[in-house]
Amino acid sequence: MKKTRKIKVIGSGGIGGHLLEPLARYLSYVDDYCEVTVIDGDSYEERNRERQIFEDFGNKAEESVKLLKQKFPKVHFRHKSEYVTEDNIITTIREGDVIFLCVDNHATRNLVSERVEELDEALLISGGNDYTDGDVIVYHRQYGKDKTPSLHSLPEIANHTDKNPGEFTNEERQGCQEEAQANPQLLFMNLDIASLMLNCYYAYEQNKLNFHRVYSDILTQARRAVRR
Amino acid sequence: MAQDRMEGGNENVSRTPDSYAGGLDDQLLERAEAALSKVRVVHGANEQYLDNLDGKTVGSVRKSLKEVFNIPGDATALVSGKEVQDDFILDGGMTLEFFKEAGVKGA
Repeated sequence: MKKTRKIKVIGSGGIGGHLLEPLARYLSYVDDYCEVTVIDGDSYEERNRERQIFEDFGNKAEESVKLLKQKFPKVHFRHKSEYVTEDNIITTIREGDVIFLCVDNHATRNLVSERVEELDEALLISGGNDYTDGDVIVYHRQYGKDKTPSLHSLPEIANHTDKNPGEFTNEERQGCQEEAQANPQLLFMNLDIASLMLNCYYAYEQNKLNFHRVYSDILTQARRAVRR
Repeated sequence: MAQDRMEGGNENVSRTPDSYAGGLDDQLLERAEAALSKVRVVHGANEQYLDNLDGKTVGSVRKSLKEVFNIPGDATALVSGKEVQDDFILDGGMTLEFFKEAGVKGA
């Protein structure tokens, strides 16, 4: 009997955009029913081209799914052209989901982690980076219990000072764009974190998920997994 | 014949149970002593066991490893999970971690 895999990819920008294609390629060759939902309220703009994969301007979730559907017809893609917020989190993240969280703010990480905490079975793989280093945090719920610590256990996420982009005013959105220009990201770092997130998913599938955090530094070529 | 081949192929390996066990104990002891004299320094992905840090301050380690470990000047220093200041003096066997916050960006 075929297994059903329900995967949510939140954020289709620097990390999410690089993660989606290899994920879809992998899922195309497993003997399961695979449903991938891409969720993002942001739109591709010219300034994103140096790091992100898209053909047309438009909503990131919608544009990504348009390309992926053509390349990987076996996978069932959906898109949600909105940010994950308190208003839609319950309908977005459900029992049994595998969630790849590829956002650029701790407010959304906190929100999603709190939602996963309410579920009996879920796997949350969250990636984040600075310019040349970053980390992946894995929060696994099984039989209604934490198999690894939630993202909420990190003070910088629990006590975040940033805001969910779904709650931005127009002024704040403008400020966020300016901040992004002032603090650029490196394509290779996004790619590295995307790859690490997929590695974590594979380790989970193989029942070898014996760590809950992985750090990576591309300047020193060092990686360190924190064992549970 | 088979025995000849076996012995011939293992000329440099002592198979005597006592000496094997004794050798392993010595090796383990040496390794344990060496580990106790070293300080484990961690920052994010970077981790090393370093000699000759006995009696050195956290501040001096921060300064000397700043480039190699990409340690920001304001990273909180922890020894055995507790926050310490830059004048804290290190001893062998300790773990010094420069706290690395979760990466924020990615979109």
